[in-house]
Amino acid sequence: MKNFESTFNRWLDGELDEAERREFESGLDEETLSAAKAWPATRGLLKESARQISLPHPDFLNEQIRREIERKPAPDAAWFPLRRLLLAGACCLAAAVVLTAFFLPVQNHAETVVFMAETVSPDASASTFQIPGARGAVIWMEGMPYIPDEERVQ
Amino acid sequence: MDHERELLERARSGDTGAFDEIVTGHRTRIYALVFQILRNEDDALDLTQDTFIRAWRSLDKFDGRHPLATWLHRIATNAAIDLIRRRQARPQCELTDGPMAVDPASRTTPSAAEVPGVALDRRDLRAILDRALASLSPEHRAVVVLREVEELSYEEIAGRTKASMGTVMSRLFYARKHLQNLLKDAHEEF
Repeated sequence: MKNFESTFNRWLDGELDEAERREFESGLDEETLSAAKAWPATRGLLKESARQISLPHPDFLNEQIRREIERKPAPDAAWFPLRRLLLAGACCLAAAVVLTAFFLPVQNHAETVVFMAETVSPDASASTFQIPGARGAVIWMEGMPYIPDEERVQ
Repeated sequence: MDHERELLERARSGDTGAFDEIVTGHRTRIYALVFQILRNEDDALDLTQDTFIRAWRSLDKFDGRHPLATWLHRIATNAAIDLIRRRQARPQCELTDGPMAVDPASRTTPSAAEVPGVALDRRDLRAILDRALASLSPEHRAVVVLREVEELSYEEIAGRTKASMGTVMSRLFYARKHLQNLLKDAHEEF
């Protein structure tokens, strides 16, 4: 039935090709064919009927619309600040992301605790870096003439 | 058309007087379209007003690729369809979408002439057509008006009414059959 409905509509709208049209019309009764012949007149009447419709109190309608749009902000005033607000929000978000990305590691460094250690040799120095919460520490030694074998990291 | 473009530009910059001219130029056709779908003067007036207010608020979205009339008609049709759908959600007795019980081969022939034996003139025919249209459900009426008066394609109707192509074809078929049946005698007498 769905296919019939679709074909019927396309037939009435003159959208079937010649072969389709002939095949479709062969299955229709006389009444349907004659009703279809009258359809262009109905279509014309529908359009004519639409043209005959008149708007009651047209100036009152304009007045109502004018009052309503003047009560609400004009398009410029209404939309552009909203856009600006959205843009400003997006910029703030981007800035926050950039700041987080660049300054967060530095902040971690700042939390690094550095210990200075005294050494026997005045030419040597040793520092210990420890990050709170980390499971290890780094001992940085400079100026040592050599590292004893038992202390050397394998 | 150039004048309309100029009015649009002025309206976009907040000139309500320019927008008022646009309303004046399109108000009757918008009202007629909505009235043909809804067949209710108050609803049609409300939706016509609503259409122009929506248009005012979305002026910066109008890209000018289609005529302004097409854009306004789209807003109006959508508003009418939305109203029909909202009312469907809150069923009212006069807005049913049930099957219209139209037998495609039926011989439903209401009295065509007000006075039997008197030839119908065009005004009588239009009155009969109006009554026939009014007897359709709003969904069927919307489809037939969009197709026959607005000359939209089946796909465009499906998009506007948010219905499948099958539903559009089915509604169009039954609406046309219904009108054909109701107008059959009238055409013959005319």
